[in-house]
Amino acid sequence: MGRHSSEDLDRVRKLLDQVAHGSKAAFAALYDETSPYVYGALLRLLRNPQWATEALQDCYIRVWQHADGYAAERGDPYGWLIGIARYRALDLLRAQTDRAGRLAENASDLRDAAVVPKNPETETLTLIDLEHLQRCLAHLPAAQRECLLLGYYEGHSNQELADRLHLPLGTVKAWIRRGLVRLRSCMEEP
Amino acid sequence: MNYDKPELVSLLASQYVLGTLRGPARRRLERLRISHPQVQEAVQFWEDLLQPLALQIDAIKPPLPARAQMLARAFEFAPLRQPAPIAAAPRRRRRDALRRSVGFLAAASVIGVMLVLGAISLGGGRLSFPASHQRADSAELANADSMLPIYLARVGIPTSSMGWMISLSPDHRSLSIVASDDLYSVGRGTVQLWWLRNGSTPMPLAILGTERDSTVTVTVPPDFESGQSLVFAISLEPSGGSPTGLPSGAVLDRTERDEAI
Repeated sequence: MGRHSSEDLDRVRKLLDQVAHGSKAAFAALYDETSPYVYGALLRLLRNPQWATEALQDCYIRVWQHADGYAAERGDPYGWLIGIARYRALDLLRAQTDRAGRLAENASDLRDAAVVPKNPETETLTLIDLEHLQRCLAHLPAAQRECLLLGYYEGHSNQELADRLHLPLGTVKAWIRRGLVRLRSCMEEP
Repeated sequence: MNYDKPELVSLLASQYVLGTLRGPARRRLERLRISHPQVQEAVQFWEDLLQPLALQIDAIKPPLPARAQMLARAFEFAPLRQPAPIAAAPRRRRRDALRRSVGFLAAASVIGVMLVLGAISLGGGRLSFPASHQRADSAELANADSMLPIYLARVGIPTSSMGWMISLSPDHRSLSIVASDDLYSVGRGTVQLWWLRNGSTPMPLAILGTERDSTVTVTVPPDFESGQSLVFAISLEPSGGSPTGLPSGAVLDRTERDEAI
C-alpha cells in the first residue's frame, strides 16, 4: 500500500513509538520525515498555504500529545498522520463557513476522537491495498467517482460539489451515497 | 435518528470520513464517535478503506519556519510519558547496500561520469570551512532532546536511497550534514556540497561523509541567514574536493528553492 518502502514505514513506526515515550528528538525526526506528505495533503485540501501550515502544526502537536494513539496494526503511519491532519483541515473549512463560530466548541472532540486506539474487532480492512481500491473506484460510474474524489481530496461539502459540478444538490447526495455503498460492496469482495 | 441501524451508521460514517458530512450532522457524529462504539468502529472502517487515497498525494515541503514554531508550541506541553530505550539503528544488509551502489552507478553513467574504481578518500584543504567527521549514535540522539537541529534540506544520489540531511544547529552557528546510508566505493572521488547563493558563485560547504550516520559539521557562512535562498547542490568531485573552488564534476542533485530563515 502506498509509495513507502517497508523500511520507511518501520522507521516511522519506531519514531512514533519513541515519540509516545516522550522523545523530542524522535518527534523532530518524525516531522522531518513525514511532514511533506502531510503538508501536501493539507495544501490540496485547503488550497491556502497559511491554513495548511496552521493545520500541519496542529496535527503534529496532536501527535506529540497522543502518539500512543497510533496502533501499528492499523497500517500505514503516514495514512494515520494524514488522517489526523485531514480532520483538522475539515475543522478549518467548517469554521470558515460558519463565521458565528458555533462549530468551534466541538472541534476538540473530533481531535480527541482522531487518536482513539483501534478496537481489534474492527481490523477487517487494515491493510487494504491501493490497487484494490483503485479497481473498485474504476468500477463506479464516472460521476460518482468524481464526486467521491473531489470530496476526499478537496474537502468539498455536498453543496460545494453541487455548485462546482452544476448539478442539483439532491443528485450529488444520491451519487455520493450510491458511490460509497458500491465502493464498500466492491471492497468487501475477495 | 436511530444510530443502532448499521446501514445508517455506515452511511454517515462514510460521509464523515469523506468530508462531505457537514453541519449539525457532522457535529452529532463527532460526539457519537466518542460515546458510541458502533459509530467509532464504522468510522475506523471507512478511514482504513479510504486511507490509500491519502497516500497518493504529492509531497510538498512545508515552509521552513513552521518547524520551529510547531516544536516550540508542542514542547510547551510535555506529555507525561516514560522515556523509551532507544535502540541503536540496525546496520543494513550488505545486499541492500550493494543494490544502492548499483543505483549510484546507474546515475553516474547517465551523467557520463567515468570514475576509476577505488576507495573514496575524504579530506583535503580546499574547503572554505573547517570540517569534522563524527559518528552520531542513537544515545547522542536521545541526549539531544533539548538541542534540536533545524532541518533545512535533503540532497541525494539520483535513483538510490543515498542522501544527506542538512540541518542548522539550534544556535544557528553550524550546519550538520548527516549521511542517511552507506555509499560504497564506486571510484576515486568525493561528493561535495555547495550552497547556491543568489547572484553569486556557488560556495563550497563540505565534502560529505559516505558512511551511514557519519556527520560533517561546518561553520555557517556569512550571509547565510540574510535573506539568501537556501538552495543546495551536490557534485561529484576529485578526491579532496573541486580543484577550482567551483563545481567541476557532474551535479548530482539540487534542492528546491526554499525560504530563508
